[in-house]
Amino acid sequence: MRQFTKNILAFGLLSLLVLLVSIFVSKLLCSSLINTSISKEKNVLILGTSQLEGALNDKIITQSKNMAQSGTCYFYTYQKAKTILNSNPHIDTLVLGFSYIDISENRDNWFYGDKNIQAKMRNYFFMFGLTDYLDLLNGNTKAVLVNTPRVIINNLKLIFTGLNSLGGFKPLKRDRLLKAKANHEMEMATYPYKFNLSENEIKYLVKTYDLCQLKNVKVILLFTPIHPVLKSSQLGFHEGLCETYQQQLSNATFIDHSRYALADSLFSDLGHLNYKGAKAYSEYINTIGFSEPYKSCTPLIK
Amino acid sequence: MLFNSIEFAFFLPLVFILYWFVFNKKLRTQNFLILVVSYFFYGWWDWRFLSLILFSSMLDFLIGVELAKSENEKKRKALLITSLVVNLGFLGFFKYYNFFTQSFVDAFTFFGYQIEASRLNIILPVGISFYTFQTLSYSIDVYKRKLVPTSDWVSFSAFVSFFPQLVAGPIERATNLLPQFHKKRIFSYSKAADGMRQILWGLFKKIVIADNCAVFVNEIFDNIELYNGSELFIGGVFFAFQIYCDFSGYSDIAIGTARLFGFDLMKNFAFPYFSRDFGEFWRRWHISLSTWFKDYLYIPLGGSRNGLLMSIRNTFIIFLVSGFWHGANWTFIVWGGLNALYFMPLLLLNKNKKSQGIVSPNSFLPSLKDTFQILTTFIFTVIAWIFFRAESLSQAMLYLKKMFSKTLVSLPEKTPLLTLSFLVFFVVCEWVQRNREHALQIEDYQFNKPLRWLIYFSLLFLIVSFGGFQQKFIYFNF
Repeated sequence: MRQFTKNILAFGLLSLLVLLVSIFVSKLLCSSLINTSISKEKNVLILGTSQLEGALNDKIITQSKNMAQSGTCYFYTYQKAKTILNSNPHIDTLVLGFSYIDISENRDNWFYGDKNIQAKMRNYFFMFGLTDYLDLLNGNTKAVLVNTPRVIINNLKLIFTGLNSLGGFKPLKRDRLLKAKANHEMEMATYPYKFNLSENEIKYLVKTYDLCQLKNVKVILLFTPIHPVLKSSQLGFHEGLCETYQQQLSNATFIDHSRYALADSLFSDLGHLNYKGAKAYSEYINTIGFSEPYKSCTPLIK
Repeated sequence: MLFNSIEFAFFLPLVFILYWFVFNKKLRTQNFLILVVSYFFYGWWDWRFLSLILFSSMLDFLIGVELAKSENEKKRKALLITSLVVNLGFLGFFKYYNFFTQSFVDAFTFFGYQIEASRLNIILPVGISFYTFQTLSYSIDVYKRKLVPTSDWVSFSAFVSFFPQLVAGPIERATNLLPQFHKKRIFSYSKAADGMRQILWGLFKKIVIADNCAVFVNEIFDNIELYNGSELFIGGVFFAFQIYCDFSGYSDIAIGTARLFGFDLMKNFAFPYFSRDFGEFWRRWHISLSTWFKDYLYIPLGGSRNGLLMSIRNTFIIFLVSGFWHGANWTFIVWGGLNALYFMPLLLLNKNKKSQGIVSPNSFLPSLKDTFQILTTFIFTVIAWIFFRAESLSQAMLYLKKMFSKTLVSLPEKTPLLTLSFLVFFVVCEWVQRNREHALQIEDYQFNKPLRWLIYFSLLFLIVSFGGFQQKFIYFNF
């Protein structure tokens, strides 16, 4: 029995050691071999979640590179910003998604929810610093430990796929507006939205902002258009969003397009533009540019 | 607690150490430890339902004691009926109450009467179908005087709640498992090592094959209208492997875990997808349930002794009951009925025991005839599984209608190649090892230690690197 226990222990420890070394080596390989450079003609980097991923066509806004990705909380956005800005000093502007939901505690689930960790951690692991990993580990120890060995194969895969698997413009073809309106009405009747700030989200949003300040990269916070039905149910959150902006991100430019009333045909659902909306919106952005100052954070008419 | 969870990875070694190093002096304390950790294992899911197991164990223990004391046949029969009514009553209430209520409402509505019946928000206690059948087998065997009842409550309760097989089997017979609680277990290196190998193989089946197949299967079954015939066919095949690897993976882990503690559980699967006909399939699939139904239902009903018609009737009864055992839904009943139909030609031609032993025992590849028979049996099985997986009969019919359309022979637009490659690897391993207890039984090959460890590590690596989203075992629902 002692021999059996010894063998099991030896096998377990050896396996653990091999796994740890593989994780470390694959991270090193990925960090040094992955191509994170962006064309010199593109000086604007776009990061955020599905709202920006589906709204800003970087073939239309030619000076920009859209690297937003759905389901990405600010923790992963920060990792991406850190890596891309480091290897692309020509980028002088970072456009970041910034909305009520982005900084609300609902987003905490995107930070330490089981499924999100499984879906996201392996792609971004090679960018993590030790404190980032420990932060995530602190958020959901079990999921992080289970998913850590999965990064080995993924790191090797990333060397070949490069930045492609970390974001890009993806137009939305789905049409769920009617259904979304009905669901929204029901949700509002049963669970009206609450707006509590997420400490995690704000922490990593501010870290991204500080990083840009350090690198002299201009930060533009962009609230993309949302459907008026959704907007009207979120009017009460406007102050909270502006407070965060004014208190912690005051050097950034805040562009609030959420108050634009666009036609239903341009929406995929209440919070996302569809491919037609993306085309129209990207053309609009391309015409006016990101540089124009906007008077955001003025009181909204309720 | 799930076998494929981090918690179990801590629980198992801890119990192993306590069992062999701390509580190893007296058999009774070792059994008591098993009882306590089994209740802990079950209570991790929902401690409230421990009372149900405790009650069931006490009832059948006392009934066993009374049956042993009494020679009065009427009293003995009454005791047995009490056991049957209470155990099946619990099962019926927790598992079938809403189904029967809804079916009555539907039947009345069909005939134009509107009635209302309240549905209860009932949680199905995990494993209830398994431990109910296990305790029933005890009462019935004691009643039939096939088994001397135990007077040791701790052993009996540990037998009912033995954690490796408590929630999803194998459904053990008291005649096999209970005596093992009465004699001192001696640690066997080779048995424990093979137990570990079986656990590793079971985890591979569950986490790499079943959980990855589940992703594609869920997508297909949730969006039938979006897929063409060939993709739906692949979805059906993937589900066949998902349910096999999910359930047999659980059984492998259960059997392997029990072996670590010196117990031998019955074999539950014997490479069923290499069956050449449905008689063979049902001798290889969920063996502990099939033989339970054979011994406690088919044979008491008369089996095949009273002519062909009675044989047919009894066959339909056990397949339909088996379907219903799986869940309170018409889809399971149709699945059972379909399997009974598949079995009929063999019964009518008296060939239901034709295919015995392993396929092609003396050659590496099967003959053309065997290949044809295996594939045909498999395809019919896949069709039946569609009913098993579907949420409703209408969904199953839609699936089959779309699958058997012109697009069945078109090229699939979506095939998860990685999962497919795992499946190919899995089938090859199972085929090569088809004459063994499980596919990782490799001690006879005389591999040296580094090679053996490399094989184990490779499987471990596949498990930690390619496992799908952690999913509950499908049979926990039954």
